[in-house]
Amino acid sequence: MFLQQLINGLTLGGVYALIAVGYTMVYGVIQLINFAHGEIYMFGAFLAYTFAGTLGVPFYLAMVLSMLCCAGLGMLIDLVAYRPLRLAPRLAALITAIGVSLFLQNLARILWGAQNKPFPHAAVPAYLHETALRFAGVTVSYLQLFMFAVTLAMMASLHFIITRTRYGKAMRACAQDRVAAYLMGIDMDRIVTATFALGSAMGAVAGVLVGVYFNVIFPTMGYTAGVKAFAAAVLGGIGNVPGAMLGGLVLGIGEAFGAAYLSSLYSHGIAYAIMILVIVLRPYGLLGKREGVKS
Amino acid sequence: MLRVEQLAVSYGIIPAVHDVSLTVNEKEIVSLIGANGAGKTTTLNAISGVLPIRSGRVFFDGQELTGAGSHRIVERGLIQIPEERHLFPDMSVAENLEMGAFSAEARHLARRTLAWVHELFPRLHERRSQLAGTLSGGEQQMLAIGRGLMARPKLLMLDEPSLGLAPLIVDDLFRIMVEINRSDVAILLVEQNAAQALETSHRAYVMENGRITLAGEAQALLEDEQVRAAYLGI
Repeated sequence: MFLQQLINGLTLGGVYALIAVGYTMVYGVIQLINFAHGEIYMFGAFLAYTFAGTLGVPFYLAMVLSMLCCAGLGMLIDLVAYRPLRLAPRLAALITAIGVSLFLQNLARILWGAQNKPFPHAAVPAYLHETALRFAGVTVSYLQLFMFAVTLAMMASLHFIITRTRYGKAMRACAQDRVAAYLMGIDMDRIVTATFALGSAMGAVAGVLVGVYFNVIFPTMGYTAGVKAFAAAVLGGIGNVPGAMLGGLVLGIGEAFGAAYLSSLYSHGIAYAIMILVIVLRPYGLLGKREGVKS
Repeated sequence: MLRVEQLAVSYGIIPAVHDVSLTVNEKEIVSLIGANGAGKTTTLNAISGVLPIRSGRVFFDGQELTGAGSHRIVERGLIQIPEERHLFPDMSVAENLEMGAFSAEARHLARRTLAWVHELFPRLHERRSQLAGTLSGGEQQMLAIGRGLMARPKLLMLDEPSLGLAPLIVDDLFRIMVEINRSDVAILLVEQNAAQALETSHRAYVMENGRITLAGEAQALLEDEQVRAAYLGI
Protein backbone atom coordinates (compact mmCIF):
# COMPACT_ATOMS: atom_id res chain seq x y z
CA MET A 1 0.00 0.00 0.00
CA PHE A 2 2.74 2.45 0.98
CA LEU A 3 4.77 1.77 -2.12
CA GLN A 4 1.70 1.86 -4.36
CA GLN A 5 0.68 5.23 -2.97
CA LEU A 6 4.19 6.53 -3.36
CA ILE A 7 4.12 5.57 -7.04
CA ASN A 8 0.67 7.07 -7.55
CA GLY A 9 1.82 10.22 -5.76
CA LEU A 10 4.93 10.55 -7.89
CA THR A 11 2.90 10.13 -11.07
CA LEU A 12 0.48 12.84 -10.12
CA GLY A 13 3.18 14.99 -8.51
CA GLY A 14 5.13 15.00 -11.75
CA VAL A 15 2.09 16.44 -13.48
CA TYR A 16 1.67 19.13 -10.81
CA ALA A 17 5.34 19.93 -11.25
CA LEU A 18 4.87 20.35 -15.01
CA ILE A 19 2.12 22.90 -14.40
CA ALA A 20 3.89 24.55 -11.48
CA VAL A 21 7.00 25.44 -13.48
CA GLY A 22 4.78 27.50 -15.79
CA TYR A 23 3.51 29.57 -12.87
CA THR A 24 6.91 29.99 -11.37
CA MET A 25 8.74 30.95 -14.58
CA VAL A 26 6.25 33.65 -15.48
CA TYR A 27 6.30 34.92 -11.91
CA GLY A 28 10.08 34.97 -11.94
CA VAL A 29 10.28 37.11 -15.05
CA ILE A 30 7.36 39.54 -14.68
CA GLN A 31 6.07 38.96 -11.10
CA LEU A 32 2.66 37.99 -12.42
CA ILE A 33 0.64 35.09 -11.07
CA ASN A 34 -0.83 33.93 -14.34
CA PHE A 35 -4.19 32.62 -13.19
CA ALA A 36 -5.01 31.62 -16.75
CA HIS A 37 -2.26 29.01 -16.68
CA GLY A 38 -4.66 26.31 -15.46
CA GLU A 39 -6.80 27.00 -18.53
CA ILE A 40 -3.82 26.43 -20.80
CA TYR A 41 -3.51 23.02 -19.20
CA MET A 42 -7.22 22.43 -19.86
CA PHE A 43 -6.82 23.54 -23.48
CA GLY A 44 -3.90 21.16 -23.78
CA ALA A 45 -6.17 18.27 -22.83
CA PHE A 46 -9.02 19.37 -25.12
CA LEU A 47 -6.80 20.06 -28.11
CA ALA A 48 -5.25 16.60 -27.83
CA TYR A 49 -8.78 15.23 -27.53
CA THR A 50 -9.76 16.95 -30.76
CA PHE A 51 -6.58 16.02 -32.62
CA ALA A 52 -6.51 12.38 -31.51
CA GLY A 53 -10.18 11.64 -30.93
CA THR A 54 -11.94 13.68 -33.60
CA LEU A 55 -9.34 14.12 -36.33
CA GLY A 56 -7.66 10.75 -35.86
CA VAL A 57 -4.11 12.06 -35.49
CA PRO A 58 -1.82 9.51 -33.78
CA PHE A 59 -1.77 10.06 -30.03
CA TYR A 60 1.89 11.05 -29.61
CA LEU A 61 1.70 13.46 -32.52
CA ALA A 62 -1.53 14.90 -31.09
CA MET A 63 0.33 15.54 -27.87
CA VAL A 64 3.09 17.43 -29.66
CA LEU A 65 0.55 19.42 -31.70
CA SER A 66 -1.33 20.31 -28.53
CA MET A 67 1.94 21.51 -26.98
CA LEU A 68 2.67 23.72 -29.97
CA CYS A 69 -0.84 25.17 -30.05
CA CYS A 70 -0.74 25.92 -26.34
CA ALA A 71 2.68 27.55 -26.66
CA GLY A 72 1.05 29.81 -29.26
CA LEU A 73 -1.95 30.38 -27.03
CA GLY A 74 0.28 31.36 -24.13
CA MET A 75 2.17 33.86 -26.28
CA LEU A 76 -1.09 35.26 -27.62
CA ILE A 77 -2.52 35.73 -24.12
CA ASP A 78 0.59 37.60 -23.06
CA LEU A 79 0.53 39.77 -26.15
CA VAL A 80 -3.15 40.68 -25.94
CA ALA A 81 -3.86 40.71 -22.22
CA TYR A 82 -0.68 41.28 -20.22
CA ARG A 83 1.78 43.22 -22.34
CA PRO A 84 -0.35 46.38 -22.48
CA LEU A 85 -0.35 46.33 -18.67
CA ARG A 86 3.37 45.76 -18.16
CA LEU A 87 3.86 49.17 -16.58
CA ALA A 88 0.52 49.21 -14.77
CA PRO A 89 0.21 48.31 -11.07
CA ARG A 90 0.58 44.56 -10.51
CA LEU A 91 -3.01 44.22 -9.33
CA ALA A 92 -4.31 45.25 -12.76
CA ALA A 93 -2.50 42.40 -14.49
CA LEU A 94 -3.58 39.96 -11.78
CA ILE A 95 -7.24 40.82 -12.23
CA THR A 96 -6.79 40.59 -16.00
CA ALA A 97 -5.36 37.10 -15.50
CA ILE A 98 -8.53 36.07 -13.68
CA GLY A 99 -10.54 37.53 -16.52
CA VAL A 100 -8.54 35.60 -19.12
CA SER A 101 -9.04 32.44 -17.09
CA LEU A 102 -12.84 32.88 -17.09
CA PHE A 103 -12.80 33.76 -20.77
CA LEU A 104 -10.91 30.60 -21.70
CA GLN A 105 -13.14 28.40 -19.53
CA ASN A 106 -16.19 29.68 -21.30
CA LEU A 107 -14.56 29.52 -24.69
CA ALA A 108 -13.95 25.82 -24.00
CA ARG A 109 -17.62 25.42 -23.06
CA ILE A 110 -18.61 26.88 -26.42
CA LEU A 111 -16.10 24.82 -28.38
CA TRP A 112 -16.47 21.47 -26.67
CA GLY A 113 -19.58 21.68 -24.47
CA ALA A 114 -19.87 21.84 -20.71
CA GLN A 115 -20.19 18.10 -20.01
CA ASN A 116 -17.43 15.84 -18.78
CA LYS A 117 -15.87 14.03 -21.70
CA PRO A 118 -14.06 10.73 -21.55
CA PHE A 119 -10.75 10.76 -23.38
CA PRO A 120 -11.62 8.39 -26.26
CA HIS A 121 -10.03 5.02 -25.61
CA ALA A 122 -9.51 4.35 -29.26
CA ALA A 123 -7.42 7.49 -29.55
CA VAL A 124 -4.89 6.28 -27.00
CA PRO A 125 -2.52 3.38 -27.72
CA ALA A 126 -4.12 0.38 -26.01
CA TYR A 127 -1.01 -0.83 -24.25
CA LEU A 128 -0.82 2.36 -22.19
CA HIS A 129 -3.68 1.12 -20.06
CA GLU A 130 -2.12 -2.28 -19.46
CA THR A 131 -0.07 -3.26 -16.48
CA ALA A 132 3.63 -2.95 -17.03
CA LEU A 133 5.02 -4.07 -13.71
CA ARG A 134 3.63 -6.06 -10.82
CA PHE A 135 5.74 -6.68 -7.77
CA ALA A 136 5.17 -6.90 -4.01
CA GLY A 137 1.50 -6.13 -4.45
CA VAL A 138 2.25 -3.01 -6.45
CA THR A 139 1.01 -2.49 -9.99
CA VAL A 140 2.38 0.10 -12.37
CA SER A 141 0.71 0.73 -15.69
CA TYR A 142 2.49 1.60 -18.92
CA LEU A 143 0.68 4.91 -18.72
CA GLN A 144 2.28 5.66 -15.38
CA LEU A 145 5.69 4.77 -16.77
CA PHE A 146 4.96 6.95 -19.77
CA MET A 147 3.94 9.85 -17.51
CA PHE A 148 7.14 9.45 -15.51
CA ALA A 149 9.22 9.34 -18.63
CA VAL A 150 7.54 12.36 -20.20
CA THR A 151 7.75 14.37 -16.99
CA LEU A 152 11.43 13.55 -16.59
CA ALA A 153 12.18 14.35 -20.22
CA MET A 154 10.32 17.68 -20.01
CA MET A 155 12.08 18.64 -16.79
CA ALA A 156 15.45 17.70 -18.21
CA SER A 157 14.78 19.75 -21.35
CA LEU A 158 13.62 22.70 -19.29
CA HIS A 159 16.72 22.47 -17.13
CA PHE A 160 18.87 22.36 -20.25
CA ILE A 161 17.07 25.35 -21.74
CA ILE A 162 17.40 27.60 -18.72
CA THR A 163 20.97 26.69 -17.88
CA ARG A 164 22.56 26.23 -21.30
CA THR A 165 20.77 28.29 -23.95
CA ARG A 166 21.09 32.01 -24.53
CA TYR A 167 17.37 32.67 -24.16
CA GLY A 168 17.12 30.47 -21.09
CA LYS A 169 19.98 32.27 -19.41
CA ALA A 170 18.42 35.59 -20.35
CA MET A 171 15.20 34.43 -18.65
CA ARG A 172 17.12 33.85 -15.44
CA ALA A 173 18.90 37.16 -15.90
CA CYS A 174 15.56 39.02 -16.22
CA ALA A 175 14.26 37.25 -13.14
CA GLN A 176 17.34 38.09 -11.09
CA ASP A 177 17.82 41.72 -12.02
CA ARG A 178 15.51 43.35 -14.46
CA VAL A 179 17.38 46.67 -14.60
CA ALA A 180 20.66 44.95 -15.39
CA ALA A 181 19.01 42.79 -18.05
CA TYR A 182 17.62 45.96 -19.61
CA LEU A 183 21.00 47.69 -19.52
CA MET A 184 22.66 44.71 -21.20
CA GLY A 185 20.28 45.14 -24.11
CA ILE A 186 18.25 42.02 -23.40
CA ASP A 187 14.92 42.46 -25.13
CA MET A 188 12.51 41.89 -22.27
CA ASP A 189 9.44 41.44 -24.51
CA ARG A 190 11.02 38.60 -26.42
CA ILE A 191 12.17 36.88 -23.26
CA VAL A 192 8.70 37.15 -21.73
CA THR A 193 7.16 35.72 -24.90
CA ALA A 194 9.58 32.79 -24.80
CA THR A 195 8.77 32.24 -21.13
CA PHE A 196 5.05 32.06 -21.83
CA ALA A 197 5.60 29.68 -24.75
CA LEU A 198 7.77 27.35 -22.71
CA GLY A 199 5.55 27.32 -19.62
CA SER A 200 2.40 26.83 -21.71
CA ALA A 201 3.88 23.90 -23.63
CA MET A 202 4.74 22.19 -20.32
CA GLY A 203 1.23 22.88 -19.01
CA ALA A 204 -0.31 21.41 -22.18
CA VAL A 205 1.61 18.17 -21.73
CA ALA A 206 0.33 17.94 -18.17
CA GLY A 207 -3.22 18.41 -19.43
CA VAL A 208 -2.92 15.59 -21.94
CA LEU A 209 -1.38 13.23 -19.39
CA VAL A 210 -4.05 13.91 -16.78
CA GLY A 211 -6.84 13.66 -19.36
CA VAL A 212 -5.67 10.18 -20.29
CA TYR A 213 -4.84 9.15 -16.70
CA PHE A 214 -8.22 10.03 -15.18
CA ASN A 215 -9.95 9.50 -18.50
CA VAL A 216 -12.09 12.59 -18.12
CA ILE A 217 -11.74 16.16 -19.31
CA PHE A 218 -13.99 19.17 -18.68
CA PRO A 219 -13.79 22.95 -19.14
CA THR A 220 -13.21 23.70 -15.44
CA MET A 221 -10.52 21.06 -14.97
CA GLY A 222 -7.90 23.79 -15.08
CA TYR A 223 -9.20 25.47 -11.99
CA THR A 224 -8.42 22.79 -9.41
CA ALA A 225 -5.25 21.68 -11.13
CA GLY A 226 -4.19 25.30 -11.46
CA VAL A 227 -4.72 26.06 -7.79
CA LYS A 228 -2.86 22.93 -6.77
CA ALA A 229 0.04 23.60 -9.07
CA PHE A 230 0.14 27.17 -7.81
CA ALA A 231 0.29 25.75 -4.27
CA ALA A 232 3.17 23.55 -5.44
CA ALA A 233 4.99 26.58 -6.86
CA VAL A 234 4.50 28.48 -3.59
CA LEU A 235 5.64 25.43 -1.65
CA GLY A 236 8.86 25.28 -3.62
CA GLY A 237 9.38 29.05 -3.49
CA ILE A 238 7.62 31.07 -6.17
CA GLY A 239 10.01 32.09 -8.93
CA ASN A 240 12.28 29.10 -8.29
CA VAL A 241 12.17 26.42 -11.02
CA PRO A 242 13.72 23.48 -9.12
CA GLY A 243 11.48 24.52 -6.22
CA ALA A 244 8.37 24.16 -8.38
CA MET A 245 9.47 20.69 -9.47
CA LEU A 246 10.07 19.65 -5.85
CA GLY A 247 6.85 21.31 -4.70
CA GLY A 248 4.85 19.41 -7.31
CA LEU A 249 6.28 16.06 -6.23
CA VAL A 250 5.76 16.77 -2.52
CA LEU A 251 2.19 17.82 -3.18
CA GLY A 252 1.44 14.78 -5.33
CA ILE A 253 2.83 12.38 -2.74
CA GLY A 254 1.08 14.24 0.08
CA GLU A 255 -2.23 13.97 -1.72
CA ALA A 256 -1.80 10.29 -2.49
CA PHE A 257 -0.99 9.50 1.12
CA GLY A 258 -3.75 11.76 2.38
CA ALA A 259 -6.26 9.97 0.19
CA ALA A 260 -4.99 6.55 1.28
CA TYR A 261 -4.52 7.02 5.00
CA LEU A 262 -7.06 9.69 5.86
CA SER A 263 -9.85 9.75 3.32
CA SER A 264 -10.02 10.40 -0.37
CA LEU A 265 -12.39 13.22 0.52
CA TYR A 266 -9.43 15.11 1.95
CA SER A 267 -7.28 14.85 -1.12
CA HIS A 268 -8.20 18.27 -2.51
CA GLY A 269 -7.90 19.87 0.90
CA ILE A 270 -4.32 18.73 1.27
CA ALA A 271 -3.05 21.17 -1.33
CA TYR A 272 -4.66 24.05 0.55
CA ALA A 273 -3.42 22.76 3.91
CA ILE A 274 0.12 22.57 2.55
CA MET A 275 -0.14 26.07 1.11
CA ILE A 276 -1.40 27.48 4.42
CA LEU A 277 1.40 25.72 6.31
CA VAL A 278 4.00 27.10 3.93
CA ILE A 279 2.67 30.63 4.21
CA VAL A 280 2.69 30.43 8.00
CA LEU A 281 5.96 28.58 8.53
CA ARG A 282 8.15 29.28 5.54
CA PRO A 283 6.62 31.94 3.30
CA TYR A 284 9.58 31.97 0.92
CA GLY A 285 9.08 28.26 0.18
CA LEU A 286 11.32 25.21 0.44
CA LEU A 287 13.99 26.40 -1.97
CA GLY A 288 13.10 30.08 -2.18
CA LYS A 289 15.20 32.82 -0.69
CA ARG A 290 14.24 34.83 2.32
CA GLU A 291 13.78 38.40 1.18
CA GLY A 292 11.97 41.61 1.97
CA VAL A 293 8.82 42.76 0.27
CA LYS A 294 9.54 43.94 -3.25
CA SER A 295 7.51 46.79 -4.59
CA MET B 1 30.48 61.03 -29.90
CA LEU B 2 27.78 61.52 -27.26
CA ARG B 3 25.84 64.75 -27.38
CA VAL B 4 23.05 65.46 -24.93
CA GLU B 5 20.96 68.56 -25.60
CA GLN B 6 18.80 70.26 -23.02
CA LEU B 7 17.80 67.06 -21.30
CA ALA B 8 14.94 67.20 -18.80
CA VAL B 9 13.74 64.29 -16.68
CA SER B 10 10.98 64.13 -14.08
CA TYR B 11 9.86 61.58 -11.55
CA GLY B 12 6.11 61.87 -11.95
CA ILE B 13 5.45 65.58 -11.66
CA ILE B 14 8.64 66.25 -9.76
CA PRO B 15 11.38 67.56 -12.04
CA ALA B 16 14.76 65.97 -11.34
CA VAL B 17 17.02 67.19 -14.12
CA HIS B 18 16.64 70.34 -16.23
CA ASP B 19 18.36 71.65 -19.25
CA VAL B 20 21.36 69.36 -19.08
CA SER B 21 23.62 69.57 -22.12
CA LEU B 22 26.87 67.69 -22.29
CA THR B 23 29.20 66.07 -24.77
CA VAL B 24 31.72 63.29 -24.64
CA ASN B 25 34.22 63.12 -27.49
CA GLU B 26 35.94 60.03 -28.80
CA LYS B 27 38.66 58.63 -26.55
CA GLU B 28 37.79 61.05 -23.78
CA ILE B 29 37.22 60.47 -20.09
CA VAL B 30 34.62 62.92 -18.84
CA SER B 31 33.34 63.04 -15.30
CA LEU B 32 30.11 64.25 -13.91
CA ILE B 33 30.52 65.25 -10.30
CA GLY B 34 28.22 66.74 -7.73
CA ALA B 35 26.55 66.14 -4.40
CA ASN B 36 24.15 63.33 -3.60
CA GLY B 37 20.82 63.95 -5.30
CA ALA B 38 22.21 66.43 -7.81
CA GLY B 39 20.80 64.37 -10.68
CA LYS B 40 23.92 62.57 -11.94
CA THR B 41 22.47 59.07 -11.90
CA THR B 42 19.17 60.35 -13.29
CA THR B 43 21.06 61.87 -16.21
CA LEU B 44 22.82 58.58 -16.98
CA ASN B 45 19.59 56.60 -16.62
CA ALA B 46 17.84 58.91 -19.07
CA ILE B 47 20.65 58.60 -21.62
CA SER B 48 20.64 54.80 -21.41
CA GLY B 49 16.86 54.61 -21.68
CA VAL B 50 16.10 53.33 -18.18
CA LEU B 51 14.17 56.54 -17.44
CA PRO B 52 11.85 58.30 -19.88
CA ILE B 53 13.09 61.62 -21.20
CA ARG B 54 10.65 64.50 -20.80
CA SER B 55 12.35 66.81 -23.21
CA GLY B 56 15.70 67.22 -24.87
CA ARG B 57 17.61 64.97 -27.24
CA VAL B 58 20.37 62.40 -27.13
CA PHE B 59 22.72 61.83 -30.08
CA PHE B 60 25.28 59.09 -30.18
CA ASP B 61 27.75 58.33 -32.92
CA GLY B 62 25.83 60.53 -35.36
CA GLN B 63 22.42 59.01 -34.65
CA GLU B 64 19.58 60.20 -32.50
CA LEU B 65 18.85 57.79 -29.66
CA THR B 66 16.31 59.84 -27.72
CA GLY B 67 13.82 57.39 -26.29
CA ALA B 68 15.22 54.40 -28.23
CA GLY B 69 14.78 50.99 -26.61
CA SER B 70 17.68 49.76 -24.55
CA HIS B 71 18.64 47.02 -26.95
CA ARG B 72 19.09 49.57 -29.73
CA ILE B 73 21.15 51.81 -27.46
CA VAL B 74 23.30 48.87 -26.38
CA GLU B 75 23.80 47.71 -29.96
CA ARG B 76 25.14 51.15 -30.86
CA GLY B 77 27.83 50.72 -28.21
CA LEU B 78 26.54 52.98 -25.46
CA ILE B 79 26.74 50.93 -22.26
CA GLN B 80 25.90 51.89 -18.70
CA ILE B 81 27.41 50.15 -15.69
CA PRO B 82 24.76 50.90 -13.08
CA GLU B 83 25.25 52.09 -9.54
CA GLU B 84 25.40 49.24 -7.03
CA ARG B 85 26.58 46.93 -9.82
CA HIS B 86 23.29 45.09 -10.44
CA LEU B 87 24.86 41.72 -11.16
CA PHE B 88 22.85 38.55 -11.73
CA PRO B 89 23.56 37.16 -8.25
CA ASP B 90 22.58 33.52 -8.83
CA MET B 91 24.47 33.17 -12.08
CA SER B 92 28.15 32.36 -12.36
CA VAL B 93 30.79 34.92 -13.23
CA ALA B 94 31.07 33.37 -16.70
CA GLU B 95 27.31 33.54 -17.24
CA ASN B 96 27.20 37.18 -16.13
CA LEU B 97 29.88 37.98 -18.70
CA GLU B 98 28.01 36.02 -21.33
CA MET B 99 24.88 38.09 -20.67
CA GLY B 100 26.94 41.21 -21.30
CA ALA B 101 27.49 40.02 -24.87
CA PHE B 102 23.80 39.50 -25.56
CA SER B 103 23.43 41.66 -28.66
CA ALA B 104 24.27 40.04 -31.98
CA GLU B 105 27.47 41.87 -32.79
CA ALA B 106 28.92 41.55 -29.30
CA ARG B 107 28.18 37.83 -29.36
CA HIS B 108 30.25 37.29 -32.48
CA LEU B 109 33.21 38.94 -30.80
CA ALA B 110 32.51 37.40 -27.39
CA ARG B 111 35.48 35.03 -27.29
CA ARG B 112 37.99 37.72 -28.12
CA THR B 113 36.38 40.22 -25.77
CA LEU B 114 36.40 37.66 -22.97
CA ALA B 115 40.14 37.20 -23.36
CA TRP B 116 40.59 40.95 -23.03
CA VAL B 117 38.32 41.14 -19.97
CA HIS B 118 40.24 38.29 -18.33
CA GLU B 119 43.47 40.11 -19.09
CA LEU B 120 42.15 43.28 -17.40
CA PHE B 121 40.67 41.35 -14.48
CA PRO B 122 42.55 38.06 -13.99
CA ARG B 123 40.48 37.52 -10.86
CA LEU B 124 37.35 37.06 -12.97
CA HIS B 125 39.03 34.20 -14.78
CA GLU B 126 39.95 32.53 -11.49
CA ARG B 127 36.40 32.89 -10.24
CA ARG B 128 34.62 32.13 -13.50
CA SER B 129 32.40 29.36 -12.10
CA GLN B 130 31.62 31.10 -8.80
CA LEU B 131 28.18 32.66 -8.30
CA ALA B 132 28.32 36.43 -8.71
CA GLY B 133 26.45 37.01 -5.45
CA THR B 134 29.26 35.39 -3.48
CA LEU B 135 32.04 37.67 -4.76
CA SER B 136 33.61 40.40 -2.64
CA GLY B 137 32.58 44.00 -3.28
CA GLY B 138 35.67 44.75 -5.35
CA GLU B 139 35.29 41.61 -7.42
CA GLN B 140 31.63 42.41 -8.00
CA GLN B 141 32.57 45.84 -9.35
CA MET B 142 35.17 44.22 -11.61
CA LEU B 143 32.52 41.84 -12.88
CA ALA B 144 30.06 44.69 -13.47
CA ILE B 145 32.68 46.49 -15.56
CA GLY B 146 33.72 43.28 -17.30
CA ARG B 147 30.12 42.50 -18.16
CA GLY B 148 29.73 45.99 -19.61
CA LEU B 149 32.89 45.56 -21.70
CA MET B 150 31.51 42.30 -23.12
CA ALA B 151 28.92 44.45 -24.92
CA ARG B 152 31.77 46.09 -26.92
CA PRO B 153 31.13 49.65 -25.80
CA LYS B 154 32.31 52.69 -27.69
CA LEU B 155 31.29 54.73 -24.68
CA LEU B 156 31.09 53.34 -21.18
CA MET B 157 29.00 55.19 -18.60
CA LEU B 158 30.15 54.25 -15.11
CA ASP B 159 27.94 55.15 -12.17
CA GLU B 160 29.79 55.39 -8.85
CA PRO B 161 32.18 52.51 -9.47
CA SER B 162 34.14 53.26 -6.29
CA LEU B 163 31.11 53.20 -3.99
CA GLY B 164 31.77 51.21 -0.83
CA LEU B 165 35.18 49.90 -1.89
CA ALA B 166 38.50 50.01 -0.02
CA PRO B 167 40.91 52.76 -1.17
CA LEU B 168 43.43 50.28 -2.59
CA ILE B 169 40.78 48.65 -4.73
CA VAL B 170 39.53 52.06 -5.83
CA ASP B 171 43.06 52.94 -7.03
CA ASP B 172 43.09 49.69 -8.96
CA LEU B 173 39.75 50.48 -10.58
CA PHE B 174 40.85 53.93 -11.68
CA ARG B 175 44.03 52.45 -13.15
CA ILE B 176 42.01 49.88 -15.11
CA MET B 177 39.59 52.57 -16.24
CA VAL B 178 42.48 54.45 -17.82
CA GLU B 179 43.64 51.21 -19.43
CA ILE B 180 40.17 50.63 -20.88
CA ASN B 181 40.15 54.18 -22.17
CA ARG B 182 43.48 53.55 -23.93
CA SER B 183 41.70 50.85 -25.95
CA ASP B 184 39.64 53.65 -27.52
CA VAL B 185 36.64 53.40 -25.22
CA ALA B 186 35.32 56.79 -24.18
CA ILE B 187 34.18 57.03 -20.58
CA LEU B 188 31.52 59.10 -18.86
CA LEU B 189 32.13 58.76 -15.16
CA VAL B 190 29.78 59.68 -12.34
CA GLU B 191 31.64 59.87 -9.04
CA GLN B 192 31.29 61.03 -5.48
CA ASN B 193 35.04 60.71 -5.22
CA ALA B 194 35.54 64.00 -7.07
CA ALA B 195 39.28 64.38 -6.51
CA GLN B 196 40.22 61.05 -8.02
CA ALA B 197 37.64 61.43 -10.80
CA LEU B 198 39.04 64.82 -11.82
CA GLU B 199 42.63 63.60 -11.71
CA THR B 200 41.74 60.79 -14.11
CA SER B 201 39.49 62.76 -16.48
CA HIS B 202 40.12 65.04 -19.41
CA ARG B 203 37.04 67.17 -18.83
CA ALA B 204 34.29 67.39 -16.23
CA TYR B 205 30.85 68.77 -15.51
CA VAL B 206 29.60 69.81 -12.09
CA MET B 207 25.93 69.25 -11.30
CA GLU B 208 23.87 70.96 -8.64
CA ASN B 209 20.15 70.60 -8.06
CA GLY B 210 19.51 68.99 -11.41
CA ARG B 211 21.50 71.50 -13.46
CA ILE B 212 24.99 71.72 -14.79
CA THR B 213 26.59 74.65 -13.04
CA LEU B 214 30.18 74.34 -14.14
CA ALA B 215 32.08 72.70 -16.95
CA GLY B 216 35.64 72.63 -18.14
CA GLU B 217 39.01 70.94 -18.31
CA ALA B 218 39.40 68.58 -15.36
CA GLN B 219 42.72 70.15 -14.42
CA ALA B 220 41.18 73.63 -14.31
CA LEU B 221 38.30 72.42 -12.15
CA LEU B 222 40.76 70.77 -9.77
CA GLU B 223 42.26 74.22 -9.22
CA ASP B 224 38.94 76.07 -9.06
CA GLU B 225 38.35 77.60 -5.63
CA GLN B 226 34.63 76.86 -5.65
CA VAL B 227 35.07 73.24 -6.66
CA ARG B 228 37.84 72.74 -4.13
CA ALA B 229 35.66 74.04 -1.34
CA ALA B 230 32.48 72.25 -2.31
CA TYR B 231 33.65 68.87 -3.62
CA LEU B 232 37.25 68.31 -2.74
CA GLY B 233 37.00 69.36 0.89
CA ILE B 234 40.11 71.49 0.68
